[in-house]
Amino acid sequence: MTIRLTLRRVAAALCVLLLGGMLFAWSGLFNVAATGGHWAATDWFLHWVMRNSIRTYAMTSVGTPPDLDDRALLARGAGHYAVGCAACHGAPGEPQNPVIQQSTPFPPDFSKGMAPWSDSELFRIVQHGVRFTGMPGWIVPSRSDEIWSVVAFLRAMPELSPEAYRTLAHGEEAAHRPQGAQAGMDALAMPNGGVLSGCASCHGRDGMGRDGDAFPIIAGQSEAYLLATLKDFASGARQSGIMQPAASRVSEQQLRDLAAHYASQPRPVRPAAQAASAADEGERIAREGIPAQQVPACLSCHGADGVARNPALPRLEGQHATYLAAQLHAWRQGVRGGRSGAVMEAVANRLTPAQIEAVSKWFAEGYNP
Amino acid sequence: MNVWLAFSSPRICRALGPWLPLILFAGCSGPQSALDPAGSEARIVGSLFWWMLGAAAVIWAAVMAIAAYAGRQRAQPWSDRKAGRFILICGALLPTILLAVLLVFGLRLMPALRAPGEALRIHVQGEQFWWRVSYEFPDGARIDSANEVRLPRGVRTEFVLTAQDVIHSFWIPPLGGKMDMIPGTTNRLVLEPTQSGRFRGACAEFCGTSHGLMNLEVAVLEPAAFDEWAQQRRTATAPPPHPGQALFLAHGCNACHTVQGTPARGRIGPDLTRLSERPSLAAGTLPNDAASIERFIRDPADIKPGARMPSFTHLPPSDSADIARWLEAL
Repeated sequence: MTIRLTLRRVAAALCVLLLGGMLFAWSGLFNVAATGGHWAATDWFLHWVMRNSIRTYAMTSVGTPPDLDDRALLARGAGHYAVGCAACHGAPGEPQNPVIQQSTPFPPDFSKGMAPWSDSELFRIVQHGVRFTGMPGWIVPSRSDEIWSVVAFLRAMPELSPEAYRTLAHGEEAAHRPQGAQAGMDALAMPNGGVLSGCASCHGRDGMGRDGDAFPIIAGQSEAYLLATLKDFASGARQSGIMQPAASRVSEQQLRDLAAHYASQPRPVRPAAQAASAADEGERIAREGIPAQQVPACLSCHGADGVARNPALPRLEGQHATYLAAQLHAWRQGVRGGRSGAVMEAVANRLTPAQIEAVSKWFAEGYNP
Repeated sequence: MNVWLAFSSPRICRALGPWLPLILFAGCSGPQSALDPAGSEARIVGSLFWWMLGAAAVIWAAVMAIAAYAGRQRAQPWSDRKAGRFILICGALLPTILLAVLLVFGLRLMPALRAPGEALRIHVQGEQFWWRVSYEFPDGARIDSANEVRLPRGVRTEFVLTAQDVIHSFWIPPLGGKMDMIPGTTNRLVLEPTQSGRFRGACAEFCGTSHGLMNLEVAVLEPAAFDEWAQQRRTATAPPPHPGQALFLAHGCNACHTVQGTPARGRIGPDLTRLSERPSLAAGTLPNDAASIERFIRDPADIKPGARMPSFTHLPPSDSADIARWLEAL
C-alpha cells in the first residue's frame, strides 16, 4: 500500500510532530539532570558544532595578536587566570574541584593538559564564552589587550611547573598564599587578609607591580583618585574584564582601606635617564601642549602642583610608558571609561601614535617633579 | 490661541499672502544689516547697491514696456534692417555701456576700501566655532579677547584675518566686508566705523555643524571711551578673590583658557579675561549669565554641536556652579 504525499498530509504530519514534541517537553520526561552526562552521540555532536563555530568565528572576527611571549603579558594573564579561571579549569599542580567535575558538560581540566586550540580560537572562546556550557564571555569584549594576555598565559601553561605557575600568578605574594590543594580556592582560606593579598598578587604590597611593566604602579597615587578608580572598576564605569571582578567583590570600606594603603606607599620616581634635552618632544607636549593640534599641556592637570590642587586627578610620573600609552589608545578607541573620560577622549584623539609614545615615555622616565 | 492656526483658513491666507514678502524688509535695518550702514566701507558698498538697484529697476521697467508693446495685437513685422539695428543697440551697445559705467563706478570706489589703517590693528582668527581676537597697538602691546571686537569710532582699523582649522568668513555687515579667513593665508580688511553702538557680525562661510552659531559681537566706542577701556585692559589686575578661581584651576580649565591676573594661561580655547564685558556667551549663542556659563561648561556640544571643548559632566554640580559664578563676575 502506498500513501500519496499531498501538501495537506505533510502539513498535518508536521503539526502532529510539533504537538508531540511540545507534549513531550511539557510532560517533563526529558531528563535535564547533570549527572550521567550526555549520550556519547549527543556529546560528539554538540562538541562538533562548538568546534566548527569557534573555528569559523576565529577566522573572521579575531584581530592580530601582540607578542604572546611577552613576560608582562603572561604575568597579567596568569594573575587573572588564578582568580577568574582556575576554580573551574584547574591549574598546574592544582587539580580541578570535584564539585565542578559533576557539571554537564564539565569544564576541561587544564592541570592535565589542553586541547590543541589555535591562538585565535582561544581568543574567540575567552572573548565570547560558549553558550550552554557555563563558559562565560569576557566582561568587556572590546578589551582585546586583556583577552590576549589570558591567551598568552594559556599557551604557556602546559609547560609550567606548579612553582613556576604560582610565581607567575602571584609574584612574591605566592609565599603568603596557602598551597591550594584545589585550584582557585585559596582566597576562601584567607577571608580578610586576602583582600590586600589579592591586590598584591599583581600590584605588590608596595604598589610597584612586578614583571617589568605588567601592572601599573599605584604606589603613592592620590588616595581620592585610587578610591574613585576602584569604584569605577567595580561598577563597570571604567572598563576592564580583569579589574571589575577584582574590585566588585570587595566592600566599600575595604576599597577605602586599599586606597589609603596604596596612597601611603612611597613612590620612588626613577631618576631621569639623562637630563631631558630641550628637543624632547614628549616633554614639550607635557609642558606646552601642541597648540596647532589643540592639545593642552598635560602638566596643567597632571603636574606636581596639579596633584596638590586636585586629588581627583592622577599623578603620572614614574608610571610605565606602555601603561600610559595603552590608556591613551583606549581613549582614542572609546573603550577606557573613567571619570573624566570626555576630556581625555578629546585630548587623546588629537594626538598621533608617535606623540602618544613620546609623551608616555617622558612621564615614565623624564619627569621628576 | 495659537496665531498660526489663523493660517489654516484659506480666506485669511488669501488675504495675508500678498503682504508676506514685506517680512523681507525686516532685513533693512538692525545691528546686522548691510543696508543700515554705520561705517564708511559699508556706506560705499551700500551706495553701490542702491545705484545698481535703481538702474536695474529702470532696465526692468523698460524691458517690461517693450514686452507689452510687442504683445499688442496690431503689431506689424519689422524690416530686417530695423530689427537688426534694434538688436545691435539694445542687445550689445546698451549693455556694454551700462556695464562699463558700472565697472568704472566700482573701480573708483576701490581705493577708498583699500586705504591702509591707522594705528590699531586687530588680529582675528576663525576657529570652530568662535573668534580669537587680539588687539595690537602701535607700541606693540597686545590685548587678547574672544568673540567680541571693540573699535574706536572714526578710526580706520585694520583687521588681520586668519583661520586655524577650516575656511571661515569675517563679516560685520553694518561696517563693511566681507573677507574670507583661509588657513595658511593672511587676509586684511580695513573698516572705519562712523557711528558708535553695538553691532553684530557672523561667519559667512559654512564652517561646520555650528556655523550658524558663530556670531561676533561688535562694539563701536567713542575714541576716548575706547582708549580708557584699552588702558584698563593693558594694566592686568587680578580678579577679586572667589572660590571659583581655585576650582577653575583645579579642574584644569587653565589648560585651554586664559584669565589675566591668574595662573590660567591656556591658549587653546577662548580667552576669558573680563568675560562679563561681553554681551553674549559662546559667540553670540547664549546670554552672558552664570546659568548659561554653567550649562556650557557641563555640555558644550549640547549648545554648539561639534564644539571642540569636551563636556565636563563629571564635575560636582557645586563646583561647576562656583566656576560659573566666578566667570560671570570677571
